[in-house]
Order: sequence, then C-alpha cells, then structure tokens
Amino acid sequence: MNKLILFFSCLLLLSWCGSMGGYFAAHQVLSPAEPAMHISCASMILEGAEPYIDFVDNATPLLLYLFTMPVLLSKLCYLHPVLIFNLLIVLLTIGIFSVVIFAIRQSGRKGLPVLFYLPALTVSLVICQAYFLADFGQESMVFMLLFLPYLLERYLTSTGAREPEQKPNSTLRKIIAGVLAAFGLLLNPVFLLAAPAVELICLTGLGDVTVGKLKRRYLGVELYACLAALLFTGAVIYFSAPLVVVTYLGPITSLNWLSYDYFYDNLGFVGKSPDRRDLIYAFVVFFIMALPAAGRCLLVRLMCAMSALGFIWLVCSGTVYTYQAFIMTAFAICAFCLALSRYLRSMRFTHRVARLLGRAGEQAGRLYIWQRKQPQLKTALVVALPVLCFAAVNYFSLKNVASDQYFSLVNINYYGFGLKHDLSFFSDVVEKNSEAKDLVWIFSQHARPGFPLITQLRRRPGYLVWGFPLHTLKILHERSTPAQAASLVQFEALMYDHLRSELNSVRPPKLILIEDSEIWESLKAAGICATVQDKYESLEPLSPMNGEEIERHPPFEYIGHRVSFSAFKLRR
Amino acid sequence: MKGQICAIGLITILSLRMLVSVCLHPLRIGWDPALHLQCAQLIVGGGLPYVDMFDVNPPLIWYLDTMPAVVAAVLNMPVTLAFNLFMLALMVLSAALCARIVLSKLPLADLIVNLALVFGLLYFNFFLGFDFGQREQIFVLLYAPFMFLRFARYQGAAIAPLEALIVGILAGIGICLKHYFLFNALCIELFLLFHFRSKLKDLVSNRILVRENFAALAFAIVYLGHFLFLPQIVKDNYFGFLVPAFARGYQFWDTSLAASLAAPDKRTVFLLLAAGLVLALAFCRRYPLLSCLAAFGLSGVVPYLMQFKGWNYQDIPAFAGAVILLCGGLAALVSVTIQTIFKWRSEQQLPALTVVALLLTAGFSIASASDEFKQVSADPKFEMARLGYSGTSPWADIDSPFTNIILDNAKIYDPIIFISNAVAPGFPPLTQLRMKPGSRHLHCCILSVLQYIQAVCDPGPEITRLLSYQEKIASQYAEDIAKNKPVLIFMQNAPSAEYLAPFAFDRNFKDYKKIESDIAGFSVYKLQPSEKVGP
Repeated sequence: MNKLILFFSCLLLLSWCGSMGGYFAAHQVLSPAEPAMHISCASMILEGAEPYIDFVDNATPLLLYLFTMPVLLSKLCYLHPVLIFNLLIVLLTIGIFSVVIFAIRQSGRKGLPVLFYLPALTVSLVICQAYFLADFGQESMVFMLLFLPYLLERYLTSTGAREPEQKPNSTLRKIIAGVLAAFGLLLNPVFLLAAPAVELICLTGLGDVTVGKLKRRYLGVELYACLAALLFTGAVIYFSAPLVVVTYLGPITSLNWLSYDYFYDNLGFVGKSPDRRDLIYAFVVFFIMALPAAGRCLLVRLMCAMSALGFIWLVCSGTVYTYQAFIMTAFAICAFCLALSRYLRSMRFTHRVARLLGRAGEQAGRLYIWQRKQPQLKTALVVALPVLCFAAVNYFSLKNVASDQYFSLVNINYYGFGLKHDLSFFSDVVEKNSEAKDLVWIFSQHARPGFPLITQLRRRPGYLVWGFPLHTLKILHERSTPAQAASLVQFEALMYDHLRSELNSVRPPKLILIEDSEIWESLKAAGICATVQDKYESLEPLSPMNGEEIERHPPFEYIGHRVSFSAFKLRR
Repeated sequence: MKGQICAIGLITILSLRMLVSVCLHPLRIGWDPALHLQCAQLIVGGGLPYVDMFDVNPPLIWYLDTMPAVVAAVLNMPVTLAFNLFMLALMVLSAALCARIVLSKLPLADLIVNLALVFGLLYFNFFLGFDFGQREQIFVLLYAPFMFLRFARYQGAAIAPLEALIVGILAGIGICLKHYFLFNALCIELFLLFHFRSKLKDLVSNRILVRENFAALAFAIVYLGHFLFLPQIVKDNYFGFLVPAFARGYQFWDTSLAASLAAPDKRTVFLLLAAGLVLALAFCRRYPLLSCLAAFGLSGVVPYLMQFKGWNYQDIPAFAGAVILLCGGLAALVSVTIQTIFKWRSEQQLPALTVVALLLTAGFSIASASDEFKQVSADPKFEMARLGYSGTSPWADIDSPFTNIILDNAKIYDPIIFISNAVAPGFPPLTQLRMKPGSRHLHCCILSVLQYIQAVCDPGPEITRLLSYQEKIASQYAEDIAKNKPVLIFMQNAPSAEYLAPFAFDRNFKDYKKIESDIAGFSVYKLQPSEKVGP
C-alpha cells in the first residue's frame, strides 16, 4: 500500500510536469517579466558584464548568476532561453520531488508518517504551480522548490525519523537539501528570515532540550550543509567579484531599502494595485484550518511558518503583485493539505462509512497485488502518462492558434517558434524599429512592459535594465534626510553618466520608450530627454490602455497610473 | 495563589496606568467614538435613532454608549472622560474574566504564558491613540473572555452557569457591534472544532449546545428582535434607505490592496502579526492557547480587507491579536529558556517571574506615567470651566482648525452643524466642546454614497428611489437650520457644497454671515446676532 501511495504520487507529479513541459514547448517565449529580465541580465553577465557596475538591477548577485545557467544552455543548443528556463524549472520540480521521495524512502519505518503526507504535498505542489502558471519561474516559486526538501529534512531530523544506519547516499541527500536551501535563502534578502524561523520552530519542537537531544535531533547534516553553503557561496561571490558584492550591499541595498521605506503614494487609490484579496483570504482560511494540526505535527508547523513569512514578503513588497503572494499562498495550501490528510486519517467514521472505506481498501489492496505482478505496466505508465500529458497539452495549446499567430525564432538565431500572443505589449514597435541584439531602452516604474519583451525578442537592455532607481531617487530628493541623499549622490551621478555615454556611444539604443511619468521627469531633469529628442526621431506615443494591445497580448499586472509611453527611434 | 497575585497585580498596575492617562486627557476622544457618544447623548435626551440622528452604523454601540452618557450627565463630568472611564472598566472586566478563566480552568503548567496573554489583552489598548474606544476594540475586549472560556470548555473544564451566561452575553454584545465580527467568532469555533476533535454527540451536547453559546445567541436574537419593535419611521429610514444605500455605495471610500496592507502606517500591524504567528507556531505544541489566539489575530485581517478602506482602526482585532501573541510568545520563550537552562518547571518559575513581571510593569508604568504627566504639564492647557466642568485638559486634545471659532462664537449647548462628507472634522469637536448637533444629519457621508451610486450603478427603480433622497436630505438640512437656528454652520467647500448646490442650498444662509471662506476646506457661516437663539 505504501508503494501504491508512492507510485500514484509520482505518477501525478510526472504527469503534471509532462503537462507543463507540453505547455511551455507550445509557448516557447512565454514568461513573467522578472525571470525574463534576469535572463537578459544573465546574458550580459556571460558577455563579461558585472552586475550593478555594467548594468543596474536590484536582484541579489546569486539570483543573477544562477540565471546564467539557462542562458548558457541556450547558447549551446540554440533554443530560446525562456524555453530553457521554463523547462529547467520543470526539471527542478522533478528533481526536488525526487529528493523528497528519497528522503521518505530512506527514512525507513520512522518516515512512514511522511509517506502519508506525500499525496498531500504532491497535490499542493501541483495546485500551486497550476494556479500560478502565469508567474511560473518567479523567484518565489524557485525559493519554494529549493526550500521544500530542507523543510522535510529538518522535520525528519527533529522528529527522530532518521535512518537506522547512516547511509552515505542519505548524507548526500541531506547535503543536497541543505545546499539547495542555502541557494533559496540567497535569492532575496527577505527569504533569509526563513532560516531563523525554521530553526526556532525545530528547536522548540524538541520539547525539553538536552545536549544529547540537540545532537541527535537538531544538529542534522542538512543544517550544517545549509550554513556551510551559505558561507561558502557568499565567500565565493565576494572573492570572485568583490566590487559586485560591495555595490550590491551599498547603493543597491540602499535603493531597495528606500523603495520599501518610501511607499509609492499613487497606490493609495482604488484599482491602482492588483486586488488579490482573494489570496489573502485563502491564506487566512487555510492557515486557520491547518493550525489545529500544527500543534501536533512539526511539518505542518513549518509550512504554516513559511506561509506567515510569505505574508511578510507580500507586505514588504509594497506593490502586492500576484507573484509576491506565491510563498504565502503556496505554503498555506501545503499546510492545509497536510492538515487535511491528518484529519482524514484520524477521522472517526460511522459504521457504514467505515465499511465503505474497508471495501475501498480491499480494492486498493487487490490493485496493489495486481500491479506488483505487472512491473512492466508500472514502468509503462510512469513513462507513457507523462509523455501523453506532454503531447495532449501541447496539442491543445496549439489547436486553436491561427497560422498567422506563429513566428519563427530563426530571425533571432534560435530554433523553434513563438506565438505572437505570448509577446508582451508594444512588440510591434520593437520588432519594427530594432533587430536582434540591438540595444533597446524601455524605462518604466516596473519591469513590465520592458520585460519580458526585450528578452522575448532578443534585444539588449542598456545599463539601466529597468527604471526602478529613477522613482526612488526622485522621492529621495523630495523626502530624504541629508545623510540618505548623500549616500546615493555618487551612484546617481554615475548612473546618469552611464546613460549619457550609452546615448553617445557608437552603438546607441535603436529604440527608446520612456513612461510619461516620474520616470520621464527624472530623465528630463538629468538632461537625458533633451539628448534623446535631439538625436532621435519621435514616434507615435504608445499606450498600455490601447484596446488592440490589450486584446493581442496577455494582460499584465500594472500598478500606479496606466500612463502612455513616449517612443523614439534612432535617426539614421 | 501566586498566579492570582500576578494576575491581580498586572491588571491593577496596567489599569492604574490607563487611569492616569485617561485623567490627564479628560477630553481626548477619536472621531467615530465621539460621534457614537453624541448619538448616545441624543438617545438619552429622547431622540430616535435614524430619525433625530442620521448615521449608517447599527445602533448597538449607541445603546452601549448611553451608559457613559448617563453617568456624565448625572455627575456633570465631560462625556469623553466618562466614556474613557467606561472603556477602562471594560478593559478591567475583560482582563479579570480572562484571568479568572486562566487561573481556574486552564492547566497550571501554562499559567505563565496564559497570564502573558492577559497582559497582552490589556497592553494593546495603550497603542490605540485616537482609535481608543472604537467598536473593534470593544469587540476584542468583550470577545476575549468568551474565547478563553470556549477554549477551556473544549478542554473539558467545568464552567459555572452564571459565568457562562455573563461571558456569553458580553461576547454576544461584542459580535453584534459589527456584522464582520461574526467571521472572527466563526474562525475561532472552526479552529476549536478541529483542534479538539471528539465524537459528534459529545461535540454537539457538551461543546456546542452550551450555555455561553446560548447566551451569545440569545443576545443576538434579542438585539435583532428589538428592530421589530422600533417605530416604523426608524425602520423605514434605516432598512429602507440607509442600509440599501450603503450596501451599494460604501465602496466610495475603497482604497487599493497595496494601500491597505503595505503603506508605512499600515504594514507594521501585519508584520507584527506575522512575527506573532511564527512565535505562536514555535510554542503552540506546548501552549495550545497560542494557536487559538493566532487564529483570532489572523482572522482579523479578513474583515479589515473586506471593508477595504485602509482605516487604521479596522485592523484593531489583528493588531490586538499580534500584541497578545507577541506577549504570549515572548513569555513562552523566556519560560522555556529558563526551563532548559535551570531545569525549573513552570510552577517553580512562577514566583520569580511574577516578581520580575510586576516590577518591570510597575517600573515602566511609573516612568511612562511620569513622562506623560510632564508632557501634559508642559503643554498649553484648556480651562474646562468654559464647558461647565472643573479642571483642565491639554489643548492638543481639542486642537483643530475649528476649535477657536467654536469657542469664540458659541456657548455650550449651542447648536452647530458640520456639513462634511466624513465624520471628521465635525467630530470630535462637537462632543468635546459640549455642543449640540444643529441637524439630524450629523455628517453627510450619505451624500457621497448617493453620488457614488449615481455614478456607478445601472439606473433602475431602486436606484431612482435611493437617489431621490438627495433632495430630501437637502430639504431636511434646510428644515433643521430654520428650526434649530445653529449658531455656526461649517460647510465643506468640496465635495459637500457641490452635492447640495443643485438644491439652491445657499438660500439657507440668508440669516448667516460668512466669517471664513476656506478654513481647512470649510466655509464658516455665523448666525446674525439678532437671530441667535438663547441657550
């Protein structure tokens, strides 16, 4: 029966991964804005650029370096990096699930309770990824995947469900879980809060703490691995690129902090930020439903704690985009599913229901005995069903797509095809006025609409990957203390110098789109707009409110005022 | 016994600290509590809700506020002071009931943490500032003993009938103050149901169909039933006009999710709550009451977001939950640490921790009370003799752009009208300065609501009916001005004046002289001396 649970959980997850693979094989350039932006940054890194010095983004160095992996693979196999990235996340899901399965199988009889949680974990993982498909590959999703095995390992260690004898491969598995968790923690500074929270809960989960208990049930290999990986990764990045780390911890962190500190006041009005109260309601209800089980099960407690930290991340984001609610919602769903499986198992059924369940158990037992005699069938199912899901989803994704919706990626030197509907807003203007690898500036308050468009069409962003510092720097001048302003004066001057030199370089941006908001005001004040107006030909203004654009491209979350963009084309 | 000393000590110290604050600020009150208090005073004076006073809020808070209103009238003390003392009494009552349940019905091993929760229940009140006295705070105070009692009930504790009855009625009052609070109560019941799973029969007979639930339900039924016996005009105005209008147009004040959750003045509550949740999770295995309070705090987020106004007071249940959780969580951390290091059991820790807690609380209370006293002494004062009371009040508590105008041009009990599309700035000055509302419309929020309905809703007979009230409201204002001859009329230049302009509202000012044209967005009209009515 235990193997049957394992088998069906694997089958469900593999089928889901097959479906996702099929979906992304059909939508080869579909990506949320932020991962696409990191892909562009990673391309620049592979071309020799140093983060925060040769280009400005506010992601952590590790995140940017990790994104070089899909870009590198893309260079090797000439597939679009967005496709590679999406498929890598699918593979990561399978990999993470494998680590979880190994952890359960290797923990012997004591890991048996976890086995009963496996369907719940699988279902919740599938639900989360399916619900947040539009945000597939966001750092929050990657963090959840990377951190999940660590949570399970901490649970197994803390509950004493260790292997009877330490096998070398179990130690390796724990090390992998620890390292993956460390990578997850380094994706975003706020994620670092997860480490003390998890450790506090594991520590208090021990009950009466003694040195012996601490050694046996707290100081696990995965904890050491995580700490070592945190220190080692930090050290490697620091010693290989000290200036990158110093700049990140200096002006970039100051900007991030100020962005948090100085709330974007335009969001005060109704409809100016995505209204995802539904996700918060779901979080509250799932959390409260899971709380009773949390008192009895450490794993549920850990999931609840992660969900609470996800809530912190959402609040700290200031912009409350849907993807920023992922951690909160996903871990709340996990906690709820785990709690639900516990409630169902401990339920006291009436005589009739018990008899029905007994019959179902008998049938399951027969199924189990039958499938044991059919090992080939199991293998065939495990292989065939995901493949079938891949093919079916791929087929249905492309079934109703008109032939004029396809475009070949050969023009941008990749194999494969893209769907015009998957391209972001303003794709027509960018395609018409620039070519692959051309420098294109799209400056707005947020990553959209510059990204994923620049990555999808293989254009290059300039020094300023997106306009995030401009708004913060403008507010800085209006509201900051002299000390705060002084700390960023040099960075600001350097940034505008970079922009000017890019404009006056041999290969200046072919196309420039600037949001007619504070972004325009900031660039105007720095004299950038005058140069642009002098050297560039003005095009028709572009509006994200344009009905045709909205119809032709997937809608995107947009905060603040939906203002138009001034467009400029380089004079020949 | 040590637990009792600790509980009594903590409640006494914190209550005295609050008493000092209340006495130092006899006129301090927030806008909504001031409005409710004004309504209560009108009811005490024989007024009918929704006939002699227009506001959308259900009347329970007004009935409740009649207690301080009567006390203030009998003892000739500022009604604001009476109200704040009433709130203090509620705090003491709530904490005393919770402490009693903690001491007599919950495991003694959890006493330290559970008393810290009671401490948190008192402590959060100190941070409310001008939101002190909001219905959300009253709900927390009235519902908390019920929550503790329900937890004890599920744990199998024996509950005395009278105790269950009192706690149940108090919870019923709390929940009925605002329909949103039912969600919090349901969440707690849901949590308890899942936490203490038992056989259905036992569950129904010994946990659900019990006295405190019956008492809460009985109060709710009586409260709902009383509407049937209200005069027809009250029902027509409330259920025929105000409720349907606000159901359609309350979104006028809606904000965005980012502004509700992530703005600098809002996010602290949610960050504290999340921190409290993590602490509660860390210790919920040992101290299960923490989970229950985590459910309570978290459930406070939903009504806050459902209302979607981003007004700070609406998150008081979440804030209270956060503070209580943090107090309980920190106490658990200290207790567990002591237990780990010194191997002292909870009972052994109690005397030492009682002494430390009492000394720290007393020390901080004395220090902060002394600071507050110094600050109040240093600040400008207002002689309350002008209002017919003795003593002084800090000027800052009554300071508004309108205070001097009112004081210079009106005597106590003079009728004054603020025509404004919000409760402020008419309140609290009218309540604080002992003025009488010059119109049944204590504010004109309803006009914004009707404008919103006009702009957003599809036309239809019901919408037309509701919109016809605009003219009626304008004529009621005119009627009240003619009848009551208010000495001052404060007219909000925008949008209220624009709402009323189509009804030639300026005609009503023929006996008035405009003395200010733009003071904080208001025009001020003063009744000409010959027309002024006597006190």
